[in-house]
Amino acid sequence: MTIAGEFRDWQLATVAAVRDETPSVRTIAFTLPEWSGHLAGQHVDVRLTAEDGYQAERSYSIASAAEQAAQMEITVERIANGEVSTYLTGELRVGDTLEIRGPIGGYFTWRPSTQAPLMLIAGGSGVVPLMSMLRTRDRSAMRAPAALLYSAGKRDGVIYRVELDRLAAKNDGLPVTYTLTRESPTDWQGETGRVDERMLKTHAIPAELRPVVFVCGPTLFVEAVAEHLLRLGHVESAIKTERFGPTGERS
Amino acid sequence: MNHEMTRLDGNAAGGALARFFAGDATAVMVTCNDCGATSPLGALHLYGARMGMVLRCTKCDNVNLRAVEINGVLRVDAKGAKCLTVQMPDISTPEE
Repeated sequence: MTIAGEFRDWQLATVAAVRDETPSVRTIAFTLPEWSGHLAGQHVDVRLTAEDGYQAERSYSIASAAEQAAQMEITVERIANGEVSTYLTGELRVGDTLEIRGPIGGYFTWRPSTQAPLMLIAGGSGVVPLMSMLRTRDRSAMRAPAALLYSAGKRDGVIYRVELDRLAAKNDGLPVTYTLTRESPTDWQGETGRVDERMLKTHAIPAELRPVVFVCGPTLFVEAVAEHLLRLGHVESAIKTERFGPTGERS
Repeated sequence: MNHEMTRLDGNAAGGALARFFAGDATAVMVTCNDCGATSPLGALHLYGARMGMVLRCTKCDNVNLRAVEINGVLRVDAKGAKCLTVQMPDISTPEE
């Protein structure tokens, strides 16, 4: 019996496809010899070994839908001088191999059978595990009400923009709101500025509806949003957070 | 590479600690032996990198767990945790 989301130790994954999402963000699809699917929100560890034996290891969130077992996708943002992300987004080619361990995580995960409304709040490439949740929801017969509030720097940096707009246009209970923190284009329809209490009051599922809330992004973003949510009456146990930063090069 | 000590969270330690917890480590509940707060391991504050990880309580900053991997040996020092709790799988309803 195989269980979706079952952890497997290091194995050699083969690059099946690469796709540029933005000028600095790339999605990489892998095939793996041993893989029984994952849970939305999980991540994998990626290990690169140089010819001299030097190894570098990073964690990356899985972007693909949970049921999609044949190929597993990660989306990687190139970090300035990042030794792993630079390689993954620049030099990696279809047919190349690298080591992967996972899937990992049981805390920051969402199952489509969850009946509570799903509130997703992303900062930058923190949208990646949340995209796996939305893709999983879209493939599920049970579509809990959901909402995404996604903070990006600039319009060009919004990852998955076309697909998110398409999901939102289905009108099956998934409003998507973008906010830009580093520019304010004159023809921009979304929000601008950092996620604050006013923005959460306007666009987030209110605490009275008892949503489960997933917040993913840089550490300071996650902590600021979590504090706003607590002040708006959300209970701590319903707020699940995932932080990343330069050391983890997490996307 | 940025060597700054950036604080992450216990989710990033899940891969390295999987061997200790028969799979997922991030949903293991950790009770701080100082302030008594209980939190999923995945939500603890993580300092350091793969070679040496320090997981601290989110409420009082007490060190709950330390993990060091040297020469193929993973050593976890858990003296800052009063208690580790894990949800047993539900075996009453078989997998479909």
